[in-house]
Amino acid sequence: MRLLIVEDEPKTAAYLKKGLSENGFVADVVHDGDQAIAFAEASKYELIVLDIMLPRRNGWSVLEHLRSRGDHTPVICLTARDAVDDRVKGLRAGADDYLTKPFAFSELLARIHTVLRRSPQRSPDSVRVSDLEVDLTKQRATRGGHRLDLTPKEFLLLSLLARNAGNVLSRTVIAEQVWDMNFDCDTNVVDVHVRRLRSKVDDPFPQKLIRTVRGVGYSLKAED
Amino acid sequence: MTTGRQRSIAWQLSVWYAGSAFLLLAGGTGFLYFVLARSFDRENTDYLTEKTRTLETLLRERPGEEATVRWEVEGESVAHPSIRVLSRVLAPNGSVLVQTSGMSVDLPPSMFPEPSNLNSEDAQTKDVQTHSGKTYRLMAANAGTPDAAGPHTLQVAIELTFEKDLLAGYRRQLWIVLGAGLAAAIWIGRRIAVRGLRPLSDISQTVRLTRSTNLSSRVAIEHMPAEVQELAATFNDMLDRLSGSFERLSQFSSDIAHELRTPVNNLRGEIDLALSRRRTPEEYVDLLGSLSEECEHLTRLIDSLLFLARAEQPAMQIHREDLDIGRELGLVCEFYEPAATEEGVRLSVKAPSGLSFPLDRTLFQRAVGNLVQNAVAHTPRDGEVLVEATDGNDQLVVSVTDTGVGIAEEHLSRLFDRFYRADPARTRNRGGAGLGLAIVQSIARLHGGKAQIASQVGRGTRVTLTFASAAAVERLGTMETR
Repeated sequence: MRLLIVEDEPKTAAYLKKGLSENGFVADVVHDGDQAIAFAEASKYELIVLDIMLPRRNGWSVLEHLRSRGDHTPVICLTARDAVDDRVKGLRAGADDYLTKPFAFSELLARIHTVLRRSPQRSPDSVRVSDLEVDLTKQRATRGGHRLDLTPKEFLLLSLLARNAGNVLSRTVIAEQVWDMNFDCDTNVVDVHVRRLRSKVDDPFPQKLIRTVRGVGYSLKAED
Repeated sequence: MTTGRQRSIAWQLSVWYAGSAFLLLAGGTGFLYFVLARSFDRENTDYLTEKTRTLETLLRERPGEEATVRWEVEGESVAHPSIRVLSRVLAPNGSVLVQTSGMSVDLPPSMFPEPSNLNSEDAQTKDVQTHSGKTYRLMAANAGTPDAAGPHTLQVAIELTFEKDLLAGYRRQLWIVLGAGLAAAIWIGRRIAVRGLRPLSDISQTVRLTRSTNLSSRVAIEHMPAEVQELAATFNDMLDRLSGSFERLSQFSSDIAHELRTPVNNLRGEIDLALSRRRTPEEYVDLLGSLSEECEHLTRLIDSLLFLARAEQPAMQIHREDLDIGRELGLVCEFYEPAATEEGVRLSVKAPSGLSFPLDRTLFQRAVGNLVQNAVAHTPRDGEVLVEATDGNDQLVVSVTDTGVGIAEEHLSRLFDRFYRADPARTRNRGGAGLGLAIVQSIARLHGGKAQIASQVGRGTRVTLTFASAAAVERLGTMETR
């Protein structure tokens, strides 16, 4: 999958490219607004990661330009300014999501996955990780053939992890996606939820699937 | 005067004082001078008329008694040496019958006006100055012996030189008095103005010397006149507020620096240690995880500070939407419930069903979430935390009550201050940076409401948030501007 990264800060651009490449994306990097438009018009990208504070032509202007030309490539905006107004402005201008610097890379990755899933391809009906099967339509999870007795929120949490199997999800993303808590809450609370889920999904089984990635978040992954 | 610096009040006051004092003095002395001059004038005319009338009577009643007339005419200067009166009697043919000696030199008969009727009120007089520099008032009248040849003519003169000199001297002294009076008026006026304005200059002196380093100086109010006291008190109030803000600001800055230093210090220390020798990949992973945690601390601190800074800007807009309050509180509590259960704390929600209120959803979640988290953290095992919503008139009241350890009285008023921690020993891992309640308060204020706290040590704490509807906030705004 091809992504376009528009970011003028070289260090940020470099780690974004590296991180995205390691996660299976092919990323082009440009450093200003004019280049961004030129690249976006020259080839087809699956998604654009767009910094707002850019030299020459800012992110808003790039976004407006693309949308006015009927280009509906999903866009995730990055900015150091985090005024609520900016967020609304960005979403109104046609951005698909919005991240405030400083952000965790895992969070960007999770948002990219979410946005891409929102685009036409349908999400799968069920996800399988090792002997765990999460049936998203029937809202049921089984492990090794045994039905897991989960509360609705626990199921939501598990399915979020399953849909992003292999990727690390930050606590902030988890709180936002499962509980609709859109603020930066005390993430220890998320740990408690995960601990509860673990007691049902992992504790009775020898193979542990839910992993803690220290300093980043959680991921669902079969042992290598 | 229309451009540039306005004249000082002291200058204007002195000019007005001096001007009015001088005018009064000039008016008074001028009036006295006028009265004196007029009374001299009238006295002389009266005397002149009296003399003429006496001569006329003599001539009429005692015709032929020339000796009496002569005595009257010539003896005048003997009887009243201070008053120089000269008189002359002319025969009907115009020849001089008798006259005061020496009179013809200065005052020949031709100099006198036509004879006038003595019985009319305004007998004709004429003021002349002679070659010798003397001033006389002249009067003429027909008199006595109504024989065929016609009446005699009386010519009487009174010398005015003495009065003129007296008045001239008086005038000279008047100028001196007026000049001295003006000088005195200016000086006194200036003194009065400066003295009256001294409290003002005292205030401005204090203002001038006020720097951020000595905000503690105040204007001494006790001995100020009533008019200036209010100004001085207002100024002192302003200084109080300024110094309060200044203190908070500098405290705030040093708190920020301190809060930033701890995580940055940890980052540096851990990195230095890791780089000092070769480590296993597991150790590196562990280190990076730890660094990431520190970065998370920093990120959260920056977010909170930015939030508070933005919330103070009047332009900050919130995005209200109608929220089902019971549902929202339920969501927040569902999120915190497992953590509370682990701590052995019961968390419950009480809200009237169907209660709806327009609020900014993210901000509302954040405020309530913060309070619930605090309450759970400070409530011992088997305690209870109750989140309760009530519908007020045009406002929503949400309270979070715990049965926790409570907070001592002296901390209550400052709990909403940034970085304020009731227990300074609490580590940031548990208590955060001490910005939570400040954020909660600013969220309530953004909704036109307020945050209040009540607590009893050992019994528990209740934080009450009031949110006003947008319409109520608008009404209040117009009332305040009115």
